[in-house]
Amino acid sequence: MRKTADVVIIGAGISGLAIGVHLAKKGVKDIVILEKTFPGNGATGRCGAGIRMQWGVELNCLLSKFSVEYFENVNEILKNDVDVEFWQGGYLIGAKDELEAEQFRKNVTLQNSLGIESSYLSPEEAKDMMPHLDVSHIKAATFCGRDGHLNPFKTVEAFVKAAMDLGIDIEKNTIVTGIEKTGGRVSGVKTDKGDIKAPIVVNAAGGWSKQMAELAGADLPVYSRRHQILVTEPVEPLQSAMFMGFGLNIYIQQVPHGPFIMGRGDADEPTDLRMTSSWKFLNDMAETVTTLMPRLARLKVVRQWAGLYNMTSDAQPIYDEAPEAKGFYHACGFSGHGFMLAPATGQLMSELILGETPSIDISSLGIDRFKGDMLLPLESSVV
Amino acid sequence: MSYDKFEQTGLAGPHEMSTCLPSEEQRKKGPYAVIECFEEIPCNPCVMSCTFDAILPFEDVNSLPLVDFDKCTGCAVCAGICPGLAIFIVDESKPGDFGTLRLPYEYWPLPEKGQTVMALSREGGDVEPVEVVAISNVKGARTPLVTLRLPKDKLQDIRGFRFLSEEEQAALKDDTEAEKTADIESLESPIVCRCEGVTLAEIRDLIAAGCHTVEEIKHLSRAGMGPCQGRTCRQIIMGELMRAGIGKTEDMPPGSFRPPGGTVTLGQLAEGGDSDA
Repeated sequence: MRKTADVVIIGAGISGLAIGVHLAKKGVKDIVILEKTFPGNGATGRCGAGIRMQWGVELNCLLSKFSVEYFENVNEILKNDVDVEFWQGGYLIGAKDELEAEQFRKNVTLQNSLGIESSYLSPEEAKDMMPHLDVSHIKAATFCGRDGHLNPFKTVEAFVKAAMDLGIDIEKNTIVTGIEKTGGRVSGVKTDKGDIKAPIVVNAAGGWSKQMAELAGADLPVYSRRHQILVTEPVEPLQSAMFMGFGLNIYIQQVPHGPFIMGRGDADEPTDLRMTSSWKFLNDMAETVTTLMPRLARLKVVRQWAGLYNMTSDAQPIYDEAPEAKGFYHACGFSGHGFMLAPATGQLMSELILGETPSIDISSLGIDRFKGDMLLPLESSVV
Repeated sequence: MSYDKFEQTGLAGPHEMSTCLPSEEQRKKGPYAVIECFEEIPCNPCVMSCTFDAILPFEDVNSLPLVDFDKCTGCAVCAGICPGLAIFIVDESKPGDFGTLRLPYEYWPLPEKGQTVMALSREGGDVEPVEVVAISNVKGARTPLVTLRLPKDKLQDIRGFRFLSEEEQAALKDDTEAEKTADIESLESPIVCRCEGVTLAEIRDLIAAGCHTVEEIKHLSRAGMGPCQGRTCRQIIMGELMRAGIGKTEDMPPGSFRPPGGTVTLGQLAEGGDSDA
């Protein structure tokens, strides 16, 4: 392992990899990414890997639009031919009640004003799009055909290849044990495999970002909550679009090789970094999905797993330099959307670190917002 | 192949054959006699030999034989007795793609059971090497019958055979061996994960590329993600990791074990309700 680096990134999830790749593309030479296990083994490899531009808050729309356009050209950008299986079958989002339907009208107006081609649908129109959906449970829906999902493992592979081609060192099985500071500035990282001196350290540790911040004496107002997910046996293509509901509390997609992947949120889920699976999730998930899509009752569950959402109080990320340690940057608090925002994260964090003008104004995503009354409008379009 | 010049060539064509074949249903019942006798000549041993009255009575000795396929049992007495060697016993009643053809053969030596011979068309042209599955003599008949195993779609096209030359036999043997070798070579590397169709070669490539845990290999190859959840491949992959010098299998992280551990439907789970039993 190198003894010195220009930038050390903690975490080889999709965010850390994207930040590394973008810094390297901008000419930063000595970049080391430290990874506790192996790339994509945290939330990245455990998530539904969906990407949608249908958000209720402008910034999220802009960030995800950037990412959709990026993923549409990912091989060109990363200069490799890994098939990331970007399936743009759209997202069909169902409104549970009138209140949500009203919010969806506003969302579509906002999205359209930002160049996102989403549309507002009646339950009947939703039924035409997804015949196995029992639309008696929805009051309205929205749809955007450019939304979709990717294969998270393949996406990681594409970024890892790009990183290695750009000369980035990815140190697997390396545990960060300390972050060194000199006079209020970060100066290096201690690991179980040795120490690295570096003037810039990026905290892209996802579910463990708070613990990394603590090592630098920095306070990070995030917490991690377990989210569970399950996958069924593969079947013939039935569903092209991802179906999602916030009030309905579900997201469900059929991946290209046939299985359905589905998840839901639960406020009672533990926040102690546990990634175990529970019977309750299987039970609740099965009830939710068989109510909305009775036809899927005959599908067999192959496995369930869990990952960590790194949450902020407004469900939007933190892109900022830590006030407690100059040169220590946070890219975390993605609140369940780190995968889809990763291209924007890579671009914007590299600009932030290099002192460039950000492509998208992210001044509102600073860490200061949690101190006073500067909190962003809560993003309600989340599961 | 055209049979429409019966007058010129004497070869039975579709028109002639339409007069001597049973219905689709009758063909499925069992063996039957195909009497390819289309010239009115004074000859009646077939009708006299049939003990089932399956060949319709002649108006006179020049009549053409017509078979009542509801009565014909395919016993082959007529085939052995026909001096014109015009009767064939076809059996396409067994399931599968193959049937049998019993044909009269009046030369010496007779082929041996199990021998490969060249099947011939009505014109006498080579069709393909086929296997002799039986040689028989029908009681009271003069001509031995040789039974060939044929693809069902060739049962009405093949009407003879010839012995293979030594060169042909040698070539055939080489072909068979080459085919066997080709089969082995064309086989992809052995399958390690049967659920996801992951081969040993893929696993070895990933190990060589730096994937040194079951879990990493699973992410990149999908090995272990299928319905059986790694019941077979997990051990094989760990064995491969050990062979690659990564460590001892007993010290290796075995990779994740995901619940529910058995296949259960969403419907069953939903019905499970709140019972914690």
